[in-house]
Amino acid sequence: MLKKVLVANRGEIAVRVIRACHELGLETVAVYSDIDRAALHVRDAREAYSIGPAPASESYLSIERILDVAGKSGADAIHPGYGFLAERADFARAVADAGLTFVGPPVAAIAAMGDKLAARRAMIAAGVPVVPGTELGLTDDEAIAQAPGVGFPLLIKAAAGGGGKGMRRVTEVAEMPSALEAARRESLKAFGDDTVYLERVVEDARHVEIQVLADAQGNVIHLGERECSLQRRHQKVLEECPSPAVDAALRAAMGAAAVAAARAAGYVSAGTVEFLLDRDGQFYFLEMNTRLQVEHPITELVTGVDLVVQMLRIAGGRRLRISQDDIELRGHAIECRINAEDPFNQFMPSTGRVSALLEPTGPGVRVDSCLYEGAEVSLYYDPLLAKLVVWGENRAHAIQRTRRALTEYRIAGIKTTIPLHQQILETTQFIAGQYHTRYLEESFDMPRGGEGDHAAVAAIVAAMLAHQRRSDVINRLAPAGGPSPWKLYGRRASMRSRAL
Amino acid sequence: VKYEARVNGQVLVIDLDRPGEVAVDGTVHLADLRLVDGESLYSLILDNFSHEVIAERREGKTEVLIEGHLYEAEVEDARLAQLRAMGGQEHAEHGSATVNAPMPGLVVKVMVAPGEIVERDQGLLVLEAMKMENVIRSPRPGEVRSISVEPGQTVNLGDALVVVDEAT
Repeated sequence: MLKKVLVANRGEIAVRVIRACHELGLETVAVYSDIDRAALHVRDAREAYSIGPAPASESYLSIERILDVAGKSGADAIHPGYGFLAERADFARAVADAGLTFVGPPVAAIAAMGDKLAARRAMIAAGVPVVPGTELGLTDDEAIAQAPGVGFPLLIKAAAGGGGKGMRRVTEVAEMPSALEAARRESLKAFGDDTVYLERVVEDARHVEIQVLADAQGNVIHLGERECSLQRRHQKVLEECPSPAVDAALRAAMGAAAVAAARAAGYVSAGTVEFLLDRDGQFYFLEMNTRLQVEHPITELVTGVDLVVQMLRIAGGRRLRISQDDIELRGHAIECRINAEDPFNQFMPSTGRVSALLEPTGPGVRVDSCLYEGAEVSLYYDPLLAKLVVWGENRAHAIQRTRRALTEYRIAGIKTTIPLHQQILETTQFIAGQYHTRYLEESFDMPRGGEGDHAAVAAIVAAMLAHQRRSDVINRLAPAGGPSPWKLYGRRASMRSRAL
Repeated sequence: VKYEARVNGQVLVIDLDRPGEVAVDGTVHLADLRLVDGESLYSLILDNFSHEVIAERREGKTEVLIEGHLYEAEVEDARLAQLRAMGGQEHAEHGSATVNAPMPGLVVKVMVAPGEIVERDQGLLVLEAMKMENVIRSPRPGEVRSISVEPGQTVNLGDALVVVDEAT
């Protein structure tokens, strides 16, 4: 078993991994950039090491600095979390070369699944259904020529991509040149590679993914699905488990396909096989994420399995103690991603200091977060601040409980997507479970300008604050000398404002 | 002191003369407003109904977030509002529009050149923040008068980016 784990990440996922380590009695090592000195993961870990300036390329993405800290601290394993170096085969290889354990899949599995074309070929060979598309490494001219054959609408996807970066949706040939340029530019910047390919869009598709766990002894199980169709700009917004579109028979079929995919990749550790699910219940392999997913907690709440603990046990060479028959989905879970974005203003990134924080608690509520009062939210990293994860006895109960928790949740000082989730949970489409991956962008509008029931309350608050400001101005205008009518007025006004 | 508060097209006359009371269009309510975090989180008890709101000033208006809904309130001293009503119309929108950075970020690409004719909502430049690219669009049709940034440049919130004016 492992002894000391370096967590090569920041934010809520670093906190999450540190928690699992501490529960297993493992020592923890945090790394941090200059602006993360006071971050929660740094304060929660047993040891913490500075690894450079704020830009990720000079800190959290620096393999050299992270391995240097591993050496200095005597860590025997590295957990990469998600994002940053989590799906970089060269990082996993460097960790192994340094004689350390990588808490994740083998280098070959990361490389095979990270290469979208190789993954596709492997899936076809393993009998897993795939979406129609092209080969990799097309020139712009080839891509434009082959586009009609793939069929519109189609996606231009970065070969090295993930998380929606370097991805563009195209509905006609005329849009191809500018979309190709944008996809290549984004991909080059995010991954240092501008290789792209085309893939047909499965209309009205749901994004449903299967969680798998595999040990080094060859045991592979799946832990059911997660419904991830509520997305904006290819970023997941809210996920639920189980999916309202998946019944026991479909779950068994998708689960078997995911297990076959994991076996074909020689997979070990926790991983996720993403599928598109169409209206007729046909599913297609999308990609395999060779890491812990952001939304892993909903699976944990419904199955009772701690996925991060399992990853650590498996990395330590232990055999899976749970079998497929032990996996039973109990109740329903919903995750709301709380991002530093303004849902009332085109989801513009929001930065600043968190002036107030009150996290929901109570029955069935879990918050995985990196926030604290006084935390500074910067533009350097991902906008994900926290995940509200709620369990209920059934879907209706989970929705009611999530609404309750969102009402309790208060974050002030920065704009967050809490109101977005409150609005989504009120739509008939969500309540009915009738939504697909384009729903949020095509059919959902964030109401603006106060369509709710509390316009009068808002007016009263605004008037009371205006009154207070006016009193403050009058106080400042008062001369320092003897009493004047202004000063007397100011005193009266300030007494009033205190009384408010 | 009487105030006129405009929310969602509705105008309420709010009288705050008596401490602990608020008269809305002549009806008196008990109101107790407390600032919780020293900045923007407030607890309001209005006739024994408990509300928790986030209120912030933005461009002369007060934005109030209540239970997932955002209300924009404009508040004016009722006497000033009356004077203004007597004084006549507000000046119409015309002249040049300066496009300011809606967030801090990195200018990735400038898509227009000075002298270019643009339409409303046409993309002017691409600003990257939190690893996502955001297209900054023209608020009006017209001619690009000047561009004060170039690709690779980091900008702060509110920095002037582009000036769009009536076409000459």
